[in-house]
Amino acid sequence: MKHKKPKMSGISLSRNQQLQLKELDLFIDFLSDFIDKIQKSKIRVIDFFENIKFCRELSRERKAFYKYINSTLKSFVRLSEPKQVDIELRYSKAVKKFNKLLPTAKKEIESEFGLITRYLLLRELDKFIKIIATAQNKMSNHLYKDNSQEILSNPDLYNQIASDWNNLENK
Amino acid sequence: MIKLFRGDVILAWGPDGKGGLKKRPLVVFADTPKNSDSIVVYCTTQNDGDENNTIFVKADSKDGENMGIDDDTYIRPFQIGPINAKAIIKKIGRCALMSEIQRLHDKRMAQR
Repeated sequence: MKHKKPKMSGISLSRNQQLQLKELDLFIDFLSDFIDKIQKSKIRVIDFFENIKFCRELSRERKAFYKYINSTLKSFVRLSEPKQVDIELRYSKAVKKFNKLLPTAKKEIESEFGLITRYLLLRELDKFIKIIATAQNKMSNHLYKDNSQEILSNPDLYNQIASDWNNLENK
Repeated sequence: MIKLFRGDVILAWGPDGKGGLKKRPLVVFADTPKNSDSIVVYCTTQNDGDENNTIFVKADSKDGENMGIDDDTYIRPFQIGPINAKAIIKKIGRCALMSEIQRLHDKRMAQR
């Protein structure tokens, strides 16, 4: 089945849209699209009102993205484990790429936009980052258990793991 | 913990030398059932002058990106052993160099 790519304007993500499990890959496509948009943020508008319009458009996209992610996460937990692992891995890689672009994107926003637009854009970006990080945590926590506290509070377990690493390092 | 497959790259907790923990990548050498200790290949950022018996992977190469590593890494096929299931954090990628790892591992076994 060929997936239809969601539009960044959010128009294609209507309120009543029911996502099928097979369409889960759209999740990744959507994030990639957003990364592309940040990369293309150099195509800025000069007029103040145009800037505000641009910010409102981003805000709409962010809200659509939030709804989309929540809906997709509900589908995610119903998938088979290998599929979940695959999606979590691809999403993590997309987030990694996104995080690498962030400093440049923020610098561009700070240097190329006026005060109000700058404030609005950075606020939108922060909200996007929170949504993306929360989604990643939800997926990771569903698949993987964080054993760090258990290891640190259990000397026998800590020593066992240290011994495993020591054996690996000194073979 | 999820089921792991030969060639998966994982992050695992290792001692940091100060009584704490740090995350380190490893390559899974054999398929591993859920919640079981895994047989892994040691990975490090140093080769200790043993270039012939290590596989160098640059982080920004295609192999490095597929593996999900953040730093240039040497895979050491001579250093294979079990790691406790509790130490495994998550899968971070796939290693496409398993045939090369196997070749070097077999070479070592033949020398013994």
